[in-house]
Amino acid sequence: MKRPLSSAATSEDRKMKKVKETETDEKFEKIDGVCQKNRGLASFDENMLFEVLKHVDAKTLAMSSCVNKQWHKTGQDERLWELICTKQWANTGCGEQQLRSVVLALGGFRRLHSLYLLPLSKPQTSSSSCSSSSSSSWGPISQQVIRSKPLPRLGKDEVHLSLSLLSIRYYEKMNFNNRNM
Amino acid sequence: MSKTVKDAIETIPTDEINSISLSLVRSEILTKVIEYCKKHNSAQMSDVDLMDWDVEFANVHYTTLFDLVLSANYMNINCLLDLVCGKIADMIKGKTPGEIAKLFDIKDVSTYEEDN
Repeated sequence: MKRPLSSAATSEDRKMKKVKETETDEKFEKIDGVCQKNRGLASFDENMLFEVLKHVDAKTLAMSSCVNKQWHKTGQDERLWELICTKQWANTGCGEQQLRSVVLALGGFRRLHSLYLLPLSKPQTSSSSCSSSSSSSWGPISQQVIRSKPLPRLGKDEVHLSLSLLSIRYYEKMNFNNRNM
Repeated sequence: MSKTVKDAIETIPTDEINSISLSLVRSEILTKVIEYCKKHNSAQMSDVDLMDWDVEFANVHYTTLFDLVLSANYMNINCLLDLVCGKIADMIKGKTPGEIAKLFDIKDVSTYEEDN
């Protein structure tokens, strides 16, 4: 009695498989008319995404973090933000490892960039153009690109200032938490 | 150029080498990788010409680019990896999250607020 049941089950399975295969076959034929599955992206794990995001600028990295969960997770990686921060720095006056451990302890490179480096990098535009550009950041981007100067290399003073501000923020928060306790 | 291949050659005794298996690399992608390596190893082209050639080489559909990234990573060819990653990075520069998702046909799009 078992045999007919199992054969029925397997034929059902075969039917399901066939349906699945035709679905994937349709996907196969989608791109370029050549049998290429969109597997490139399915097997595009975080490491590959990390390699790609090493080459982007801060704005693009921030945008990439908003795409989906995987991109968000990769975009939060401190090593990427460290690359972005240190690209702009001519000379920090201290060792790489030392700087890394200090900044990570104080809140990380991503926070450092968004709070203190980004305002330094923004172009010095007049107040009227500033208000219009701040409201629609991606709209008149071509105009902004023409008007804005290339990213300045931040000197020791700017770097120390931003690190100091990061430290102050850290200690302010620490004190605030102690007071509440 | 490929560290993976170099390591394979160095670890397996030369008498026993008949083939090196690159199971994760498809044949058409391997063809492109070989083309890249041959071009970069030949001393014929100037640096400027080589850069132009690289730009042309990387001017392919993004699925091919992804396959090239995976293969370059697997075969451990750093300059090819940099080239292709740079090309993909250029594709996403200046785009909104929605546009990036559309470009790469990404499902599971979540809404995150932009921190920066």
